[in-house]
Amino acid sequence: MTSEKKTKSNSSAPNISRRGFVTAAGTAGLSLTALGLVAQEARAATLMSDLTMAPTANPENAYPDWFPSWDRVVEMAKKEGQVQVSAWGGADVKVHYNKLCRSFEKKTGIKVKYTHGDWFSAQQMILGDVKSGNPEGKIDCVFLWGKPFSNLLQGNGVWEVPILDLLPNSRGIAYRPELGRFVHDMVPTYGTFVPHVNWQNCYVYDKSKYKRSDMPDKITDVLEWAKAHKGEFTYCDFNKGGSGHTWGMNLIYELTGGYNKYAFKPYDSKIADNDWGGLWDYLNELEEYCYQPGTYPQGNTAVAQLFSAGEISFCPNWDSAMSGQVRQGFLDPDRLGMYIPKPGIFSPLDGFTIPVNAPNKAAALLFLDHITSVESQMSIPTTIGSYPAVTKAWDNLSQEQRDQPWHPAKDLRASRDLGTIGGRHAEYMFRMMQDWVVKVAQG
Amino acid sequence: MTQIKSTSISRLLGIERVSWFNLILLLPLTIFLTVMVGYPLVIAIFSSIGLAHPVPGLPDYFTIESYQAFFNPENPALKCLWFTIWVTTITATLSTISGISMALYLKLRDIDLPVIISFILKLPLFTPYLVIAFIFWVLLYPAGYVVNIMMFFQQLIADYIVLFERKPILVNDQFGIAIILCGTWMRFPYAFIIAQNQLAMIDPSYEEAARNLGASRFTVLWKIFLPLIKFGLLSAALLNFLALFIAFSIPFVLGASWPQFLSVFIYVNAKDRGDWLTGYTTAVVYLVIAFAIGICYTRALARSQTNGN
Repeated sequence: MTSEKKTKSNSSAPNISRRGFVTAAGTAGLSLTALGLVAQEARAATLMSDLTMAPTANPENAYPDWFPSWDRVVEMAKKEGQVQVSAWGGADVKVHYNKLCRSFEKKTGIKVKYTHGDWFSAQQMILGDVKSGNPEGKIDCVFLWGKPFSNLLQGNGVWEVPILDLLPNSRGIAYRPELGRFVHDMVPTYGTFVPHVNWQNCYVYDKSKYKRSDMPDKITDVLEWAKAHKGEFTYCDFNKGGSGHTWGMNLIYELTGGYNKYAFKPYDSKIADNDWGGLWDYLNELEEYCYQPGTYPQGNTAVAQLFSAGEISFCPNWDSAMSGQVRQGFLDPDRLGMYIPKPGIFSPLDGFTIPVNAPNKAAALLFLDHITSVESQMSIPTTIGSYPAVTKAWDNLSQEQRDQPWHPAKDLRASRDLGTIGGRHAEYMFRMMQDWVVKVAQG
Repeated sequence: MTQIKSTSISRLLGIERVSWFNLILLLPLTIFLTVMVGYPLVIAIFSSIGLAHPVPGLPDYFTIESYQAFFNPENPALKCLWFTIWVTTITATLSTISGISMALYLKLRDIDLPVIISFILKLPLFTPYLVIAFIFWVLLYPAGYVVNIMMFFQQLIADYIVLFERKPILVNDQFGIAIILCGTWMRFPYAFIIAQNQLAMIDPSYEEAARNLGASRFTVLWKIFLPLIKFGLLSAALLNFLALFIAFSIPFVLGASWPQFLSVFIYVNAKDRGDWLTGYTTAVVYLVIAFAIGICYTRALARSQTNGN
């Protein structure tokens, strides 16, 4: 009987009862909705022309008990109730982080204990705790540049979990290996590092004296320019300011064999011993034509102040250092011209890591996700004067904000995400800083 | 109360009779010095020869290579040491001479300084080194007031004499001019106060007797004042030397890329480059010299007090 019914029903397709019609229509409707959802998800997962993809949320059942979903991380973070954040930088950077901490507290109800200190103290505190076996540290996430990140990684101070890939907002970070995603100053990050701010080192020139076309186009053309404009160029002591040694690192690439000779390659002291003669000759020759030959400004701010005072017309410096001069009223913005010479001054993306002994790791993850959001990242160019790690944050700025003179590239997506990019090499850079004292500063 | 017989402890502590009570009173200080001074000192010495590893990157075997490297004239460390000693000596000499000269002038002229002037003279005593260093940087950097005034006068006399063709380099220079100027201003009041107190302790009858016998001001100065305060002056000079020798803020802000002050050299090596071995080695050499000067200072102070008594 049952089999007969089945056979009948299978063979008599056109005879549909009212109830059957409603059921079939409902099923079809649900199927179409499901198809729509699938299509929507498929759209979200589409590879964009800038090689990025939006995050695709897996269903809850995709996460086994031993692996937390993001919802579970949020839940745990709220249970922890607080996060201890340590960062460093100038007054603008402090304002930026205070702003982010306030918005995080407002959004999540999790209290932020923010310490605006220096990277060295933070590094030493973490390493000291690790060495003494203290399981509960005093920092949940710490802002770092290449060297302390390397020190912490080598000193077992980093929580070796690929946190970058856990953060939903991290997909917005420029998808280039050198920009902190895979290496930071050629130190492998293993996903433990969350890039936050892209300081951009630039060539800075006085627009009231020179046109852009008067300035050197290539990074190594400085010497010729300095010869023609004696005493108008300087750069900061390689050991006292990042704008000096970042520029120096790029000179190494250009003068001693090209970027590919160094990028993603292990440090080889023989290269520094044997191949850097051209670099030292270049810098020593340049010294004769520099501002106050033999004297080097002791930091990024010192160079910026000389520029603002009209003592020099040309120098390498950070975007943030020059924006600070304008914001503080020391420098007329109409004088400030900034650009990135060819093939580029490869600059770092500094960011955060979670220490191995951080007591509030879930809250730290939530905080890092918050500061990687487009809204938070938009504060970087407007408050600090540098580029955000998340390119969409730049795209969302008004034209007026993007047109500020301290931003050398107006189309960040074209110049950074899709343009010529590279990274510094920490080991070679430190060797260069050490040798610079003997080979150049000593004369 | 139970007396401890050991005379060596008595000598060490400078107390005639040592009781257990005295030792208990000294215990907190002893513990503090052991933990906060002794232990880091031992760690620094051991780290410099590879026997302690408080930070990564130190050799895990006994070695004196870093000391050989330090004293190799080809390497920068020894040059930094000489530069530090040289600049410190000039600064200590200038600050001590200027402080003493001021004190002697006031004594010989019998001038009582108004409170406000006295406060201004002693202002460096209450001012943080870092703040002063930045003030001097702003004054002396190429667009600063001092250089601008110098260039203004140069323009006035340009038809007669050319003192500077270009702006003079007064800060971050290789001769340590800014360090010397700032250090002299910072340490001048210490010499002034020490000399003033020493002069105040001299029995006025010496000067009166000398004057009655027809001695000139110079003779009084040369034959009476200076011999009586010479150990005080020595201790002031050594104190100033020591304070500047170990200073960091002033040379860090006002010093040049090269030569570097030894304290800055340690900072750059340890902090920026992560070369802790050089940092520890330099620190040990630094400490040995500072301790040697400290002992000279303590002895000079003891002689000065004996003289005063």
